Amino acid sequence: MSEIPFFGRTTIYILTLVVFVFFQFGVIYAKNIGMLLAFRFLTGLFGSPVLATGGATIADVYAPRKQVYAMAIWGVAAVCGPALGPLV
Amino acid sequence: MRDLVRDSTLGHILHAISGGKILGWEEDHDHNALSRFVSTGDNARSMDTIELVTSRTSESRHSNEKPSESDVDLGNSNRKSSESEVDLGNSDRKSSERDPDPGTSNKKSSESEAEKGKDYELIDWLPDDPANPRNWSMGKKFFVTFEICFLTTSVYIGSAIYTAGLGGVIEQFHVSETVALLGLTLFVGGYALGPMVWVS
Repeated sequence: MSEIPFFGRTTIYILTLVVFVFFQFGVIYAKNIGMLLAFRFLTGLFGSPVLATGGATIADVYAPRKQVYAMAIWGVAAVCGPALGPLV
Repeated sequence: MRDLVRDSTLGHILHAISGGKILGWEEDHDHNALSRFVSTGDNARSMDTIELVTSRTSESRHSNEKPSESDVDLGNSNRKSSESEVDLGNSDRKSSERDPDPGTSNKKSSESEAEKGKDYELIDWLPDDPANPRNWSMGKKFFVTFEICFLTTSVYIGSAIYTAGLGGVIEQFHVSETVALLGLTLFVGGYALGPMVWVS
């Protein structure tokens, strides 16, 4: 959907982020395990756009010779997430 | 920095509420700012057509090159050879379903040029355009990169943080560890399937 120029990537990022946060509330207040699992799946679904197109957004911002550095930093951020999860 | 606020969600909301007065684009203040995009001799259109045309840059590129004219009218018209010129005088452009057919898209181009495939128009950045992300200052680029990285990290953390609360889930819902781990599995499955919907 972000490939349709009317929406662009930024709109998708913001909207899915808002929905992501609200579905996490659903996870918090789940009454049974089924509800929890369903909301977990939905949060994953709505959290994905930035993972897929974050690299493309970063590549747009930097000149070709500098894209490598920005991509590497983005990769560090992507790996730090799961590593720091249990710590937090 | 003003551009960052203007492009954000808050900026768009303020712009919509105030009708362009707060954090306006330059077209709101100066109605002639778009004149450099309009080629002379055609019907001058409003900003609506520019948004319509620039919204189609990804799918088709119609060129309206007329080699003889552009060589002659170098100082005269706004039509440069390959830089961003939007031909707004084409009333056929209003319907997107006529887009894929280059032959009938532009009334002004002759039949032979259409057949040769020369009736496309390349829409590109202006030189030194401040809206082009490649031309931003380093601070602005770093800020945007930091935002993207932070968002990526926070989504990935959402998957890993669940393992810390696994014991609580088992205790509260009285399920086995395997079922509780489904919470983690489904989250990862969700963000694997998500791009199929959102990105393509």
